[in-house]
Amino acid sequence: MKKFLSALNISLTVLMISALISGCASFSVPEEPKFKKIPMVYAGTQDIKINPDTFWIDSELKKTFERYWSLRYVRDLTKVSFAMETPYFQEMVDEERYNVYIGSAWQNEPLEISFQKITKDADNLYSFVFTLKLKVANGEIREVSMSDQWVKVRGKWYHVLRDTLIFPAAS
Amino acid sequence: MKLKWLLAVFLCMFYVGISVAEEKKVPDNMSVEPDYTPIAKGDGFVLTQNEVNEYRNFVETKTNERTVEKEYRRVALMVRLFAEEGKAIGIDPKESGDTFDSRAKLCNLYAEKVIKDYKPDDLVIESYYFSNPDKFKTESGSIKPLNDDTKKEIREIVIKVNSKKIHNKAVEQLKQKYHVRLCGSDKGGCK
Repeated sequence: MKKFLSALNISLTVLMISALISGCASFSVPEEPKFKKIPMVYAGTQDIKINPDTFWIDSELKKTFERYWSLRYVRDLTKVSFAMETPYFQEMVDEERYNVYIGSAWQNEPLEISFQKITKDADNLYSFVFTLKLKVANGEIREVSMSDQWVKVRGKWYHVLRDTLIFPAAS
Repeated sequence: MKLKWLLAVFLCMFYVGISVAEEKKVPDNMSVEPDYTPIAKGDGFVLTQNEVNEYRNFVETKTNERTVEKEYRRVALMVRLFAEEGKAIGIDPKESGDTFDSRAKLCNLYAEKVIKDYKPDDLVIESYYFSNPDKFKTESGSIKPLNDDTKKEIREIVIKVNSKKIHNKAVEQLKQKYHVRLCGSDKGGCK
């Protein structure tokens, strides 16, 4: 009986492992695709005035941010945006799951990003608050309030995707 | 040991359950006669339908869970690859890998070794650390330095949620090492 239980343990552990298997991520960045840059405006708030010349603490961050949000809404380019997420996110989250998550936005057309503020959360970690103007599938224009985090690791900026509902372990 | 066994049963049922829910298909043909049709071939082994059926029968009779044939084949191939590699490196000299129990044991030992040997990329560790400073706050409010202890802590977090991807990478590497060819008319045979 003991031997049988031991075998059962082993086999079930094995099944558990293999049932979970799916695609794996890499940190390689695919060839640069063509995309339409999303316009960015610096509206600020009643209390916060933004100077576009000093808003970005790093020109690379501006470039990466613009690229990321322009690509997020392009069909079939999730591989590119996935590679712009933090390396730990890429390691911990299945790319297919990410594709489904991002894919839900393809029917929308991004029209504009309007910044309200930028905050330094920690060394090399910044948060943006902005409004994203979108044209949705039925032609309506909608404005969505967003909060977005970016981290600099070894000289490169990465998007910090946090969604405690969809990606609890990586958020 | 009992706790570990119960945990394994629970996790297995949970994940097989997910797999079933995703594919929404249940096989209704459980073979009784040994079927030695090759499913995959690799250097030094042939995975047969009989081996796949062993796993299916085991799961369906011991757990009341069901999943699809594709999933059972994937399980069987992974078990076989891990067992072959476990045997090759002498992970348990007492096990020959010729029986269901022996393969399962070798596979489990090799799966544990894969996790033990897993070393996340430095970028993974650092990006987690710099993106989540609140998780490394001490009681005094300062942030723990990124030393070996912190790296170990992050490694554990990554492993906790990432074991399937870690094992998947190992399976892909072993498929190449053993030159695995899938059989079947749609795969162009497995000569």
